[in-house]
Amino acid sequence: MQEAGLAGGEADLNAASHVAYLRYATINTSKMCYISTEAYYKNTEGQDMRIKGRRKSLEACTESGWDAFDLLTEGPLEDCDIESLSVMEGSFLYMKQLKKPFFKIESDFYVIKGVKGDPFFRFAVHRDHEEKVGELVSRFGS
Amino acid sequence: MIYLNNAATTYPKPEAVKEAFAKRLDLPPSGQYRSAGLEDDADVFDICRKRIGSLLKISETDRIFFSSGSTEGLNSIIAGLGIPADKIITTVTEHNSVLRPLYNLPGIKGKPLLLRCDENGTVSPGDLEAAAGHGMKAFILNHCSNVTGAVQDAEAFGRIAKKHGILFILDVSQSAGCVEVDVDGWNADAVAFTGHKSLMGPQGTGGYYVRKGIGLKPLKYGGTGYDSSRVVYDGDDYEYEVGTMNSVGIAALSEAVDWVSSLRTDEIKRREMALSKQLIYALSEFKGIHVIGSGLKDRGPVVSFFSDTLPPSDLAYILQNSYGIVTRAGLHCAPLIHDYIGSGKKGTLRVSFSGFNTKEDVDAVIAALRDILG
Repeated sequence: MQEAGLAGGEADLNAASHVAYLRYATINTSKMCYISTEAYYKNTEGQDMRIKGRRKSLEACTESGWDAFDLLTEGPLEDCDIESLSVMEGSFLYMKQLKKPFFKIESDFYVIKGVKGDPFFRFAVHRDHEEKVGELVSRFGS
Repeated sequence: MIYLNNAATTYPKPEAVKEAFAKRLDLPPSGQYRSAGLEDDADVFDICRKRIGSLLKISETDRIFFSSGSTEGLNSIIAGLGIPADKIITTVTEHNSVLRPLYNLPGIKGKPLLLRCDENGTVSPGDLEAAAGHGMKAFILNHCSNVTGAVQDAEAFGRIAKKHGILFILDVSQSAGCVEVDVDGWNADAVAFTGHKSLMGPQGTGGYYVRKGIGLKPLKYGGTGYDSSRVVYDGDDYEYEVGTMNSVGIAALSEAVDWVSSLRTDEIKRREMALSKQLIYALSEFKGIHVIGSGLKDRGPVVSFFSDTLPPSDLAYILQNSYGIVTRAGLHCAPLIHDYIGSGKKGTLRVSFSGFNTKEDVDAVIAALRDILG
């Protein structure tokens, strides 16, 4: 994954071990768009990642105090889909070493997380910022 | 799938329970005093009452009333007693099925007096002794914490409550079926239980017991199959099981209680404690994992912990979606205890066992955590 042009620092959580690569990014929108144009909308099959719907999170209670949704995708999440989500503002965590890799994007008022290969990912949003769900759906919606 | 969320609801259910449920659905419906029904119509409920009475040591089995579960049972008891909340003592370990009725039921004024717990979730009987005077009328206690697994000393609490003339109300949602319960021996005046946790019955079943002589105004009124001409209740001869009862669920619950009794609670507890100890020991080898109540001598089949690296919600998400291991994360419907056990606003990751879990299930959790946390 290319990292040029990012403001803020990068932190390799534990270079010696198999934990996660963690990137803290303040998004420089124009440069990120340039960097990730190819990954942004297309997966390895050349198909767009599209959100086809949403449902209330199956674990709403876990995100106590926040609203949580599962956003359903047209197909299973692939590396490029995850990368295209990583342009969302916030810290990015991608644990590739797991049986099914886990990713998370976290800002002050939302958390996006999911697992590679699943046909959905979770979006938990602070109640005062529910418009973020609409922004994500309109950006990636079918 | 490895299912380790039995404190929420147990899975799988014993074959006898599934068979009883299916068999009951196939039989002509129970009349419940409203028609001729089956010959053994009355037995379905009475047999279940007797079995519950035997397991929980309740001699007045005719004072066991079926409900949809502990939540309805606790609401019925709290609303029915009509005691103002500021005359009620309870604890910070309580589930929302106690806290929310106390803080929200119309007609229950004031706020309860809360007894604190220690970092393991254990409440001191000495604190009840100190609080029990001053016009207090009732004490509600969660027998086994659904967060930490701490089992409270119900015998001591019951003795203190009786000494001070306050009603002792016991929530055995987490303990019935996996920890010894002695309602009569502990002088409990009221008890709420649920069918779908360690009693291994279906969801939507459970009930409550209220000692004879304690006036309890019903939460619900309706048809009972007795004396339809009567519209107004005078005095205390209320009826508590109204509307058509869940006879299919109760038949299955009856088989479930029988199944649990045949295994014996002490044997179930021994097996589940072994799994808890295995997990706690393995978790102690991880840096940055904090196990709640690792030193508890008496515990239910619940182990909670949190990690310095990832919040419980992420751990649970990864365990379920990456590894097929079902647990639970968060506050577990017990919002107050977390300020005392160190888990704070994010709560804990909770692993909870049933008699169907195995040593290999624990090994799988540990292997997954090694992948996740290193």
